[in-house]
This record gives sequence, structure tokens and C-alpha cells, in this order.
Amino acid sequence: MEGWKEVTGDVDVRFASHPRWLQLARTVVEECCSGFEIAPSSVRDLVIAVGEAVSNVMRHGYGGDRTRPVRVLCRCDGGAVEVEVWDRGCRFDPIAQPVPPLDRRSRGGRGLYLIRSTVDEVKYTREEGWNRLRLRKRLPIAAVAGERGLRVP
Amino acid sequence: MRIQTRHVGQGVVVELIGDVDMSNSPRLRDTLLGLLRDSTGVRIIVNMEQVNYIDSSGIASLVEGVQAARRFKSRLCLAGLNEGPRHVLQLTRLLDIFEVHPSEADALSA
Repeated sequence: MEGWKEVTGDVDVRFASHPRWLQLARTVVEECCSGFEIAPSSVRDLVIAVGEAVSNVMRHGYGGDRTRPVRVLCRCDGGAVEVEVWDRGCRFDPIAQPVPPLDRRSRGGRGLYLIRSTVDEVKYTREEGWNRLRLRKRLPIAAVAGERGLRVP
Repeated sequence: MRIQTRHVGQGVVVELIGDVDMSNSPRLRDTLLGLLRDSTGVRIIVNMEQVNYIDSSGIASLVEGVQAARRFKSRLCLAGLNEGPRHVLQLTRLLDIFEVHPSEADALSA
């Protein structure tokens, strides 16, 4: 797949934009968090946000093309967990979108709402043809290093 | 996710096993709408005891199912909601559009 950009993270996974890899994206986040004592509710919220972000890339960014590159990086640092979702779809800044009103009758429009509801920060940048979405979840309690010797955030 | 459908008394139990996301939510939608089209007045119980994650596309399929149930004069309820799916339904303020039961047995006896 085309020209990956060098970025560092504790976990860095690249896959094609096929919905079958959605579970992999969620597992990446769960596994990255598993080395730290992070409240399960925080992990759950981050998994919700990442699932929606990657789904948006597959459905809207790539219009259902299942062969395009997606990258998920996850790092635990500075009292927060940060996940980045990269794709080469058309420019799409979810921050710039108006918050969609929750319509009970609508089939769609809840993904962006869920992203904004479950993480503390959402940042978007366009870098050399890539969309880079950063999702940051602050940790409510002091995390301690796990048995696997990962960094203390 | 696996979907197992079985007839119990006057109702149909649709048991979901595993995560519900965009890779399989169209299947869930087709199953629910198919059951509702096939018989007016049917009672569908979606057993979610083995679902720990559902995304917005899965929620959309359930919403479409409950809307179709009203159109077809049928009923669709959820049973055995775990914390994860319940949380997503609460965040999207959709929990109260569903008839929710603690378990499949409770739903069948309601």
C-alpha cells in the first residue's frame, strides 16, 4: 500500500480498509491499554471512539473501497492514552463538522457524536495527503506500570 | 458476530453472539426486517447477552428494526443488555425507544 509516513507509537498497526479489520483496530487499543492500570470505562470509551473513527474512514473517506490503507497508532503517555487514525481518503475534518442533532429516526449521524462524547480531545490535521485524526482520553487515576514493563504515563 | 434465530412460543428470538459493527450490522438489519416482513404481529426478542460491543451502524439496524416493527404492528424488544451496548444506547439517547428486559426469559414471560 502507498507511502506510509513515519510516526512512532507503542503500537502501530496498518491494514486495508476492509470492515473485517474493524475488530483488529479495537483490539489494538485494548491491548495497548492492557499494560497499564486504566479504568475499564476509559478503555471502553476509547474503543468506541476508535471503532467509529475507523468505520467513518472505510465508509465515507474511502467510499467503501476495501483496499486502501488505514493505520492505527496507540500510545500511553503523559497521563493519557492517545490513538491516531491515519488514512489517505479525501480531506475530512470531523472537528469542523457541525454537531449533528441526535435524531431518533435517523439511520446514521451518530458516529461523530459518539466520538466526541467518549474522548476528551479530537484533533485533525492533513499531512502530505494523509488524514490524521488524534483521539485523546485523559486517565482519571494515576496509572502504574504493568508487569510487562511498559512506560508509566 | 453470529446470528441464531429460533421460534419460541409466539415469539422469535434473535440471538446475537459477538461484536456488532459495520462488518455485520447489514446482516442484522436484513434478519430483523425479513422476520418482520414475513409475519405481521410477530414478537421479536433480540437476545444481546453475548454482545459486549455495538457501534453506531449496529444501533442504526436496531432502530430500523423497532421502527419497522411499529409499521408492521409487531413488537421488537432487547434482552440481556450488557454494560457496553447499554452505554452506547444511553450516549445516543436511544435506550428509551426500546422495550428492554433483563434476560430472554424475562422478555418471553412479559
